[in-house]
Amino acid sequence: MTTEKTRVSSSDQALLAARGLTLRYSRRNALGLERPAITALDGISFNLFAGRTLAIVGPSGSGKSSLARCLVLLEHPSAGQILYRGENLLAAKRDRLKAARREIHLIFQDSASALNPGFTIEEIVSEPLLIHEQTLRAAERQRRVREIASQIELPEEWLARKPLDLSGGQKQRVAIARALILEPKILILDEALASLDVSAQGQIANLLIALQKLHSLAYAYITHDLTMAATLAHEVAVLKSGRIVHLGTPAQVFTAGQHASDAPLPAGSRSGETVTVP
Amino acid sequence: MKKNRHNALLIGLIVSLHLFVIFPGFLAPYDYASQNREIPFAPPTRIHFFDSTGKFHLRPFVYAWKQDSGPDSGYEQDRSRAFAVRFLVSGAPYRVIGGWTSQLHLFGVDLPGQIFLFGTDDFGRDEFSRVLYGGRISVLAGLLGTSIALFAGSVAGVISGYYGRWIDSLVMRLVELFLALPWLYLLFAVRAVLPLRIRTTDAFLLLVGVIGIVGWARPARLIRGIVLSSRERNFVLAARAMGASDFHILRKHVLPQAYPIVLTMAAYLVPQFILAEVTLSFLGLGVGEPIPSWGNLLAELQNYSVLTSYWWMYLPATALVALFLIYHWASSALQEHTSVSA
Amino acid sequence: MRKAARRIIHGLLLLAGVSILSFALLDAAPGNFFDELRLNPQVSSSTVAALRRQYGMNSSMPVRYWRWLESVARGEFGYSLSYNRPVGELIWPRARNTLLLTTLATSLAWLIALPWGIFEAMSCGGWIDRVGGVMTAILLAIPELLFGLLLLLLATRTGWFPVGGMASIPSGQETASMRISDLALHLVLPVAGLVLGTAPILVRHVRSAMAQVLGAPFIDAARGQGIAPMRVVLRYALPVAANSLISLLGFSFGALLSMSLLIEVVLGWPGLGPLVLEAMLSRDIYVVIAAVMLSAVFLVVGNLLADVLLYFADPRIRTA
Repeated sequence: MTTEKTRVSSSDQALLAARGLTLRYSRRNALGLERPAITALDGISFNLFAGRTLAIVGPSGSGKSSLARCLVLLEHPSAGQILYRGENLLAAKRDRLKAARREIHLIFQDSASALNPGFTIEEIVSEPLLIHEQTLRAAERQRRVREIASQIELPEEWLARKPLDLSGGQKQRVAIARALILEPKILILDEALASLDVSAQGQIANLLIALQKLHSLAYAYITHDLTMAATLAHEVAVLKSGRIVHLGTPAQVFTAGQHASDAPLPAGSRSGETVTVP
Repeated sequence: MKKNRHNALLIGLIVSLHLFVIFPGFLAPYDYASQNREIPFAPPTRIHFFDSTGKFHLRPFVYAWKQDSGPDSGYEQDRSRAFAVRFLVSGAPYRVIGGWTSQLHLFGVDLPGQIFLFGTDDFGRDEFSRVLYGGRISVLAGLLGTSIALFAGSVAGVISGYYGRWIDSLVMRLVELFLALPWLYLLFAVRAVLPLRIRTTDAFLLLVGVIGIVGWARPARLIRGIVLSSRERNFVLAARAMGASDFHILRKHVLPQAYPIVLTMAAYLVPQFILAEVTLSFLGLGVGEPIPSWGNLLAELQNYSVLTSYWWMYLPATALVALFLIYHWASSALQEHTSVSA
Repeated sequence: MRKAARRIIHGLLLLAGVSILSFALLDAAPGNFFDELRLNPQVSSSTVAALRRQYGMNSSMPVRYWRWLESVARGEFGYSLSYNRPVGELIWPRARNTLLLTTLATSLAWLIALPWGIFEAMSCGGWIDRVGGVMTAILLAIPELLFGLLLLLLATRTGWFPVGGMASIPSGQETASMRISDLALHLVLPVAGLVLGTAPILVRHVRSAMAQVLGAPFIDAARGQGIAPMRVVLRYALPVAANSLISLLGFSFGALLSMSLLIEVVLGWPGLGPLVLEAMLSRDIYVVIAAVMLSAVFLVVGNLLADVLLYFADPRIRTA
């Protein structure tokens, strides 16, 4: 399982870029008075390029999930910009925003909770069509679902089933199908492989790599699994306490060794316990 | 599956029962207001299959009541003339719905015979017909009141739970306020806002409105809870990240979680609201003469002689109890059904 | 401590809100007492006018509300227009009678429901549970109204119990024990009616709370250790179920003033119920408002009581 690692060329235009992203939470105590704010993200900047994967690694509490949510606009940063093809999404109008949402998709860590247990697989995968292409007729929708299903090697028999009947790896496949049906350009993978067993991880990782090559997708792969990051990523950003403390190719970042954020770990091991999404 | 057949049967039973109650004209042999002053408080007409000679008749027949010649001024059957009970007879006209009237009754006897299955009241009105028509008022009040309460409660709960913040605080404070008052008192208080003596046609609608207003709070709180918990689920976040509108999210993800709860609540609320109407009418604050409701039919029992001597005047209560048992049965079945599929 | 203060303030605000709501509702009622009063030849028109002026009936609602608050502070709680007395004088004796009835009935209901519910939960599907379940279902299907009427019938037919009122012995001739037994006889019917109406609901709740706890793994562990079943239930399960039971208790307390209205009216017990009904029918609004407020106070206090008891009973709340 090798990936082509080419040097990042600065003349490629970034598909998605974060500039100085800052996210602060204000808190109120029992009496309703303000207490010092928590800074989840502090001046994050990075670029995502078509056909490339940026891995964002860091220990729990470093702000990884907050970042994922910001990138798909589920949270509104206190400061900074998110530039999609040069256009700041945080200042965009509603229709531009909706258009951009077609292009950027989030894959959750826990596939089970990301799929509505009452829906069939077909309904889950076709939901984006209902949201963005309402004029499509049912027959056309069905065709599109089957098209993407065959691409992702999702057997047709599954379409009538419910998420309950599928395994973790299969559910994640469904989530990917749902994410790709609108032919987006960017996937944010929030610990997308963490909850899977080793063989499923391998399968999904291969699938993601194949899809990236096929469609020139940009991936932001948020994880605490350093091995996976080293394998999948063209570039790695190390996140600590809301800041990027290291940015470079996997070779540069991982063999740098004694970095404060990495506790001394043998190469090729995970960096810690499971992260819970805040 | 056997359970499903069981439930389907139950639902069929309930629906048809409600249809009978809502369209009482067919089942009731007489109108609720037609009086027979010469036979007040007559006991239920006895149905006979055997005549005085011991001969069996396939078609049942009845005798008329006449004043007892003896000292205790009761009634005895006038065996001089038998009236056969006929089915699907033509009788007094009644309104089915809107402008459609009919004269067809399920059963009846030829004039001058009369059949009082539940006896008569102090104006000689057929109690059976009055119970049927009264049931229409009481049951409809319960159904409509529940619909109003659930609708208002759902809207409030959804808005409160989904949009949160100040709207949520406001709605929840209001809910607390309404729940802090004992419901009977609240019913009184709201009823008091309306004119004391209202035209009987308006009385019913106002009554329903009152019941609905009193009952919105608990459903609102329950539904808000459901909306709150589904709002944070990852599949809702996923839809939002995909750019789904609030409407889409509510319709496809949030509300379907609420439907089973709403149904269970309905099965619980309808009997309560029927009871609310019955209580109000019993106390004189609901529908009044001449429109019957189980409440004002039972109010007659506050009279000493009625309470002790005329047992058939208790029959509206029997109908009420039977209805409650059916709802209880339906509610348990519903709970089983929803908990299995959850 | 801070939490307690918050709760109390919350309760007071709620009461204020209730008072405003009921005042507004009843004040908005069309038709008022004075229309009826004017028809009464015994009351002169100047008296009516004076009363109107005194209670600011001619002024706007906020003014009237303020006047009412002042009256509350004086302990009068407004003025009853039908009885020509401050509402306070009318309400207290009636409320006392109601509380006598409901406290007795509620205690009895709990005394019956608690063991019965526990046994049902322990039986869980066994014959006690099934028979109890059927009985509860039937009792629940019978409205309190019907219980009242049937009890009335029982009394009039058998003559065992007096009907209506609180006492039948002319005062001045009785001994203390005679008075007590007389009162007791008068209490039997209304208490029976209330118990029949509330015990089934309590049984349901107790059963469900206990059944939930008894299904927990730690109970199996205790049983597995060979601890006697009754001890498991009382020392292990009951304290955990106490959480929801205490909330229920708070609810029962809260309903003490309002639960008996119907029974009082049907059986003629001289409590708050008949007074409020009469006041409703004659538009004697201050009486109604006072009764509503008093009931709301009980409800709020009931909730607070439940919170306090929970605090002491459930260590998880203390350490949270």
